[in-house]
Amino acid sequence: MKETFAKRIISVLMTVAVVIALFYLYLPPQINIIESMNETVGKDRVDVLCVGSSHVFSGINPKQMFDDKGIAAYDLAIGSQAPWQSYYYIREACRFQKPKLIVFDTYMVGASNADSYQDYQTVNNLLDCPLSLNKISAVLASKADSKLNILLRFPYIYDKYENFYRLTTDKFYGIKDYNFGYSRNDIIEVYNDVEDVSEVSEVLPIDPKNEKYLRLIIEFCQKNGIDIVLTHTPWPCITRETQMRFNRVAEIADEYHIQFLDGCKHSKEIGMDYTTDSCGDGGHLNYSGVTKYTSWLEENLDSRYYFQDRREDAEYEVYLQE
Amino acid sequence: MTHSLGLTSFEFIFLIPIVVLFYYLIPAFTRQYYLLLINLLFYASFGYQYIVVVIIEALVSWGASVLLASKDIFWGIGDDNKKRKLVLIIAITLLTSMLLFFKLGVKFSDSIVAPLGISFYTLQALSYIVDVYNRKIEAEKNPLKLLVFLSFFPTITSGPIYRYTDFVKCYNRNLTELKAEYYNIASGIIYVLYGYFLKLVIAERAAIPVNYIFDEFAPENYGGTALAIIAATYSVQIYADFAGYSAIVIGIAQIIGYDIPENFKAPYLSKNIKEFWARWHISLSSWLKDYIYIPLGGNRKGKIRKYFNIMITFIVSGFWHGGGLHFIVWGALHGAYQIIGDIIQPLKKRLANRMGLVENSAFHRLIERTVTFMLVTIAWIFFRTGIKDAIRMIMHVFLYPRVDYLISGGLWELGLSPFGWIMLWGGILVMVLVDRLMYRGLRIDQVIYNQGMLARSVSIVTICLVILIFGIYGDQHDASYFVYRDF
Repeated sequence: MKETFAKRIISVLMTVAVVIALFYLYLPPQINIIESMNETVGKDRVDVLCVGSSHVFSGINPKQMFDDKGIAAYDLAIGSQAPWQSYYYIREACRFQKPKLIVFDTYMVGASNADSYQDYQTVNNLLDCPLSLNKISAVLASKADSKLNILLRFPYIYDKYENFYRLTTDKFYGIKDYNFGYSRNDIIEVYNDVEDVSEVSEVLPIDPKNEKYLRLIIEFCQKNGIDIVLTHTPWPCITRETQMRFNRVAEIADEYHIQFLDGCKHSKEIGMDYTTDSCGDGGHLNYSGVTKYTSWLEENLDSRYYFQDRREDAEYEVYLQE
Repeated sequence: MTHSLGLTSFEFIFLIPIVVLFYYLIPAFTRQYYLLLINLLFYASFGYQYIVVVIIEALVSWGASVLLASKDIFWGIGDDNKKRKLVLIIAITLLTSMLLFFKLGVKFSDSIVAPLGISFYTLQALSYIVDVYNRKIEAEKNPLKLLVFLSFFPTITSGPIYRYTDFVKCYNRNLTELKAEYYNIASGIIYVLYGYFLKLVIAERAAIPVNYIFDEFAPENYGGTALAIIAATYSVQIYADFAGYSAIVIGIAQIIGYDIPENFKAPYLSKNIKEFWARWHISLSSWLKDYIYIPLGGNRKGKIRKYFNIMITFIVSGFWHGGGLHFIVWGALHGAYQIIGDIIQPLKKRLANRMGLVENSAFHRLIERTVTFMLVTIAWIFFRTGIKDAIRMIMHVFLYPRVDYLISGGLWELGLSPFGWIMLWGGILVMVLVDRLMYRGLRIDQVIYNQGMLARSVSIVTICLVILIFGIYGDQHDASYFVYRDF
């Protein structure tokens, strides 16, 4: 059969199309936390969005907030979520939710005083997000070695041939999470001689990129009419020097006239006992610690903000699931 | 820190079609500048400072060749032949000194970093100057052309060692006549994909058990039979890695209208060591033959001198691969193999006759190929590890076979699952079948191309799928490291 120019072009286009289609089909699907949130509670349902790193998903219990005060909260958090990623997650989440309040935990702002782009987990955090302008911005903001790999999710996410048995077009799916983003841990890791930082008043600068994105987050919320509260989940490994950076966070909060709830400075008031309230793993709280901290948070939020009590609202029955 | 455009990086795979598209869209006369820009940008992605070295080598080569071609070197003072020789010696000294400075300097100082590919493009520069001296080629008046030659992006990092005569033919044609030939592009793409298959499916997979054994070297923990299999797997790894790389660069060069001679022609199907070196890293072995072996006298000055020349040539080859003593031992081993092979050739024939082996029968060829592969594999052990460890390993293979280790599933404990081994052997089978074609002078891309449009499309889709599913790459795995990049 003679190969005419037209036949060759068609053959080339079809081959390229098939390769791209197979490439896409064979990409393993990924759980996306925003999709999971939407799957669990539904769109436009979350009143309080808690954003941040593992100190959020191991520090704040949305179910408790609902049971105690009828607050429909959700932990939109992922391990080592860098501030420039939090900015992306908030923008992306606000496409599907209209929270009244965003609780942004500043652990990664103050405690990681270097751009944590090189951290494997930090870069991989971007992989679960579908392609969008927000994601492109976040990838460009990162200093990942290969931005293209993250944007195209290939070959970053592939390491075993077993991943290719699922052919699906639904690449970023959500799963119902009846813990609303919270990850319960009952282990007790004893921390003695935890540094008392309640009187630390000196200020140290925070990483410029972290500060930049903290301000962008605050400004985004204020521009979109969303209240924002900055928090610092209590943790036993805090040092005086690290606390000085969180004092800088407090200064920035003051600049914008927003509240900064520093759990480390108020750990006594919260009733933290690090011999029973921590599960280790770099200073995360266990269930006992989370209960105390979440109660304290609820009281502080309740005193300043009004939240509709959703406990009798049929649309929020999901919060009653055990 | 720059992000290097390694051949297996996504950026490279993404950018290459764009580079090629512009290459064919721009006016032909601008292609030389475009190619130079691409060459320098590509090389700069590995480190900006490297560009300076290749520019210096290009200028030295150009300056020397212009002087060699000049009728009035040093204003006509002195004997022409002597002056030409002096220019040649100075140029060779300058270029070799640069190479030695970096190759040896890295061992003595942390601040010295050898430019990637310097071993390869220095040999290219040397071959150019010597050919001009011997009046085999005309001196190049345009220094830019020489810079494009030395910095040619497909070959700069790990070869093949391109000869100027081959390069300039294509370069001159591409400035005026080159059109986007469907055959060049389609078969080039197939060859590139085959290269990625060799690299990502076979070489990276073979590297897993090989590194497991060699990185924590304790041969007494494993049976000799298992070690023998690992040694053979290393032979496969280094071949698939380097042949895969060569296929990728030859394919890419073909797509942009440059014909680079084959670097590997089914070397493991060779029946003796001499044939092996006519099929393995051909660009290097032919360079060594033309510029070391033949100038030393080759086989023209009697048998003893011939053997001496062979040994020197292989020792130089060993040194070129690395300054370590084990590389020199590797080279010397191959020299010894060739010499001994030559000496016992009549004996081998008599032995074969006595055993009733029909010369060139399938069985006879099988024995010769097996023995050659074993000898090459033994030498590779010295290439991979230090001399003491290599000897330990070889002794273990022969003294403590411990077949029971293998039977009890010892192989599955070396980092690769049983299915991983099956995939590896499957890949090797495909490689052997393709090599059988190559042994008969047929390249796989040409064979596939000639089957027609449907076969081409199906082959491309199949190879892509195989690489996608069975390739070893991904998060925290660096597939950008090609073994020969270190040289």
